[in-house]
Amino acid sequence: MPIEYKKTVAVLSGICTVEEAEELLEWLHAHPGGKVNLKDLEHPHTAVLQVLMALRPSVSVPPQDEAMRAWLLPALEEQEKSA
Amino acid sequence: MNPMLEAFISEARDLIEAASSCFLALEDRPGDAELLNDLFRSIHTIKGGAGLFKIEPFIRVVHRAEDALDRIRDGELDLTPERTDIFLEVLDQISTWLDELEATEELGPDAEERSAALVAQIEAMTATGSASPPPPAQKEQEQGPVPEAGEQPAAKELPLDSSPPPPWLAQAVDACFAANRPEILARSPLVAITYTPDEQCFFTGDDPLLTVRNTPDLLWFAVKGPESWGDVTEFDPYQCRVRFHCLAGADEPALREHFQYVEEQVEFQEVSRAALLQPSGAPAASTTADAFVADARTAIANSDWDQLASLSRAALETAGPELFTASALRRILLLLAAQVHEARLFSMLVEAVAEQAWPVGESISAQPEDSPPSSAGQNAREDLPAGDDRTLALDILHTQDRILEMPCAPELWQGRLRAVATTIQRTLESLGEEEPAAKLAEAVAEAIARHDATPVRRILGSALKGKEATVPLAAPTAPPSPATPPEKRPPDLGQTRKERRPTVIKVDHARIDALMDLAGELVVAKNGLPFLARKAEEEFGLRELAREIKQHYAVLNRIVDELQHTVMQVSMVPVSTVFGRFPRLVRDLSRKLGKEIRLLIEGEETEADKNVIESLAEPLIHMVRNSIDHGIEPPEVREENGKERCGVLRISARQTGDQVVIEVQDDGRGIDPEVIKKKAYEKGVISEEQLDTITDAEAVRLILAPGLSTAKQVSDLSGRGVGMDVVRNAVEQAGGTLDIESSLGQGTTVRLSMPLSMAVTQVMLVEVGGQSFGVPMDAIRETVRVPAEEIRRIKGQEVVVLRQRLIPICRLRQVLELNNENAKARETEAIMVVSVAGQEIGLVVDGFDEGVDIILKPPEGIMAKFGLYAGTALLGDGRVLLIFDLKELIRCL
Amino acid sequence: MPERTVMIVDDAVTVRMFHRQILEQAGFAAEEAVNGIEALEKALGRHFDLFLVDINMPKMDGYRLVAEMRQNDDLAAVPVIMISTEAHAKDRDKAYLVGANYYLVKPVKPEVLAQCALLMGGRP
Repeated sequence: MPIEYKKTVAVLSGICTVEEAEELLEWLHAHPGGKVNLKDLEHPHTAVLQVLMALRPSVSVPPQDEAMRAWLLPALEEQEKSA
Repeated sequence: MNPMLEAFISEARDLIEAASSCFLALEDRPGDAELLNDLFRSIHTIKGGAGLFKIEPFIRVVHRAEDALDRIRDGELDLTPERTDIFLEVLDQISTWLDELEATEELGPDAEERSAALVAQIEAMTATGSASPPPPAQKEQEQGPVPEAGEQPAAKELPLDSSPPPPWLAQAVDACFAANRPEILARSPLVAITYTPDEQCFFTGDDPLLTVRNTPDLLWFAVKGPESWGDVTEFDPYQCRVRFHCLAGADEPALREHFQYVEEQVEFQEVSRAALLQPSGAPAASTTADAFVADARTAIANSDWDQLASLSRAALETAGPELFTASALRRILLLLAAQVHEARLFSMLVEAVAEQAWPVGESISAQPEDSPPSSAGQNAREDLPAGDDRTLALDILHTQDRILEMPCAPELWQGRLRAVATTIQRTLESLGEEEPAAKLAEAVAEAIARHDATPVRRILGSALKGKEATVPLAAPTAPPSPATPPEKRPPDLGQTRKERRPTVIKVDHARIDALMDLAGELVVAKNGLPFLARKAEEEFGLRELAREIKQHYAVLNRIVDELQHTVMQVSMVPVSTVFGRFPRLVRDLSRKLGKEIRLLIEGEETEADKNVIESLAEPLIHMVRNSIDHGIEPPEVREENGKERCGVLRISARQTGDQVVIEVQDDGRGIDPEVIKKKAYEKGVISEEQLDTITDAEAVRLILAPGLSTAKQVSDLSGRGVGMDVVRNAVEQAGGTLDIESSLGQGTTVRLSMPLSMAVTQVMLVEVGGQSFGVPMDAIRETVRVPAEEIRRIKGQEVVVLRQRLIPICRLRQVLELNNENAKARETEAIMVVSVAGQEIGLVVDGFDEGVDIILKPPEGIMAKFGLYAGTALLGDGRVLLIFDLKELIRCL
Repeated sequence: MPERTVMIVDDAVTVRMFHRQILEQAGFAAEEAVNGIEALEKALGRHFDLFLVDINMPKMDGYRLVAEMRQNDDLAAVPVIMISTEAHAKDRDKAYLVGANYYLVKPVKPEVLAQCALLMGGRP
């Protein structure tokens, strides 16, 4: 499912494929301070994940799925810590 | 029983037997490549079959044994006698387990324990260095040639945490504590996976995160970025910069399979619970936890886990979070949360707090871990990333692409291309692709013409591109739980089972026995026809009818003969089924007794009735035992006596007539006839007169007599084991005879003769005092008529000289007290010479009659009291025939 | 429509039985062979849609069987699923090198084998 880009929030839902990484990266570059909504995210391709990890946008809504939160949030947080 | 389990048990038993003989043969021909291959394959096949059932302890042992054998086959390790011992022990255990499976369809309650002990033994024997360092736990990884380890004590503890745990392990455990995920401690050992994807991996269609999330039995994972992402404005999203740390519970082969396509990017390490528990952090400058340590020790001693939990929680609040103490406390709490109540682990952690250090080289017991069964797919082996048809189909297509990329032998190239094309075509069709066949056929033709697979790959590539974007994901929560847990296997798939074409059927032996009995009855019934013919001719004067009956009899006779023969064949098994045990028996006993013995087995293909063979097993084992125990001397003694150090034990079987003769021959110390004579006299087994006249051969034979060989002192003196008369009884009960020959200092031969089949006996009819009796054919040496005056009397015993042999005479009429009026002296006497226990004797009868096949029935009722008869049989004309028991007959003389 | 046919080649009777059950359930008619030689003998002059081949077998192992198949005009195009207890990549690669089309590790999950066979065995 493509990422839905709103004014200040990118909504990632379902499965984000490798093709969407570049678009997300460009959007984040174009919207410094842009947030990501991960509520309905099921699976980001590794490329999408590392865009989030590298650019560290704030998370407006964490994933609904608990198992997802368990690994995704630490991955994003870790970068903040080491930054 | 589940037919598949049944098949497995029977197959595995055969394989165990095959493997045992390979091991033993390898002792003679060490390093024989073919034997090693056969051996490896036997074990391998057992493992393959076992994998279908939920018998983990069994599988673990076989798996380890197979690994060890693989290394031996590769020449990494030698097959020393000590290792063979362990392998044989493994085979024994597997046999026991098969028995248990057969009886209850599950392994015995101590299976885990036994499995762990054997696994530890195998590990110890294949361990490389002798003392330190412990061998790496990554058994699957390539290991360099390993120096011969020599004798290894069988370690009871399994060093699981031998290789240094990955540096991120402590962090992982802390993360799990923070996330309240104690389940990582509930299972042990775990596999730690460090996955560093190739930077270019996105271009080959990889999604490392997806691979990780689909890891079989994934318990925990974390995504790690690089030290620095660098300038984010220059960030290239298609260069993979992340790596993964995972903890999974699945066994290593399944994991290796899962990560096979990225194998070189993944590191696996088996981590024990002890390794997981190793705390991290800076040691405290001064020990502030003394009170905690003391209280905690008490709580552990009392198994008061609640108390331990509250103590730890309280201590954790006061400990600096980055300190070693805090880390240890978190692990105690995590263990408690995981419900792993192993006092030893808690003690390790509490002592670590006291010492502010983790014991180096601490290993964890390989004893069964009382981990609670995990809900999600424990032991599940994921053959594929979990997914639906589509995932599988895409994987198949990817695989075809990969195959085409691989190099290929020229002679295979075209065939491989065609098979790949077929696979692609069918898979695409299943995915709903319209008519891929035509396009593919064209591409294949083009590819073959150009000798280049590109046209096919192009079609595949475009097909994949279209499908890939819409790959539905497997259940996004880790770990994927298998739809069919392995314990449910085999599912009930029986309904649509097609007709089988088995080459071998298994039949309950009782049915064959019944068939045999019936065939025997038919033989007897058939024998009635000649009587009928005679009656027709003599009583009714119907010569023509008599002739026809005889013709029919001839036909029936042939058919019945064939039938009987065939039925006998059915239940004939080679003696190798019994002989097969001897190599092992001889090996074990000789090793135990410190003797050197070469075993020669001859004629193991000789066949006999299954019942006969089975009844042979026990006596034979006894005989072999005796030979090793008492016959063959220790090597030093043999050398002193000018013999070769290595004794020879020869076990041979051959068929003579309707008998199977088995000899157990040793070149040991033999039996001293003088000692036997003396003892036999003392025991009253022989008279003083016999003491003088008895030959050495006869004296030796006395060892078979009751009352002699069971006497303990005698057996020690004689050099024979106890109970030769027990052996003799068993053999005779089964209708056989036992004989023994020995020459002092040269060796002993015990000869055992058994009827080939117990069902039908051939007897010769003799007439005594107007009655018919049967004499077992196999005992008869000859029948002669001699002039009455040639019967002489020596020392009160009637004898006759036949071909320079002096044969004692026994007048059956007298023995049987059949004194009828016809007792007047004759001019010639009919003498039937029989051989009983190596002794010939002439039976004087009134006349000889024909030989007949009979079914011997054991004597019943009043007849059983007369020891003279082996049994009775029904004749074709309805008469009951008495069959002599010649041994008893002679005893009565 | 004639039934699809599969040749199951494995020296272990238990394994053959297990695979036969799965494949028959999936609608295949199964033939069995205990080694490569027997498989070739039984396959000659007959049509098979799919081969399921074990690796480690006496007389002629799975690798050799598949290599032989790929050189035999009648059998060259028949897809082969190799199935072995070996989970190493080197075993898998060797299977592909000699011409196998897919590789499964024993003990296989019944649904995976069934799916695989349905995908590769063609439409009935």
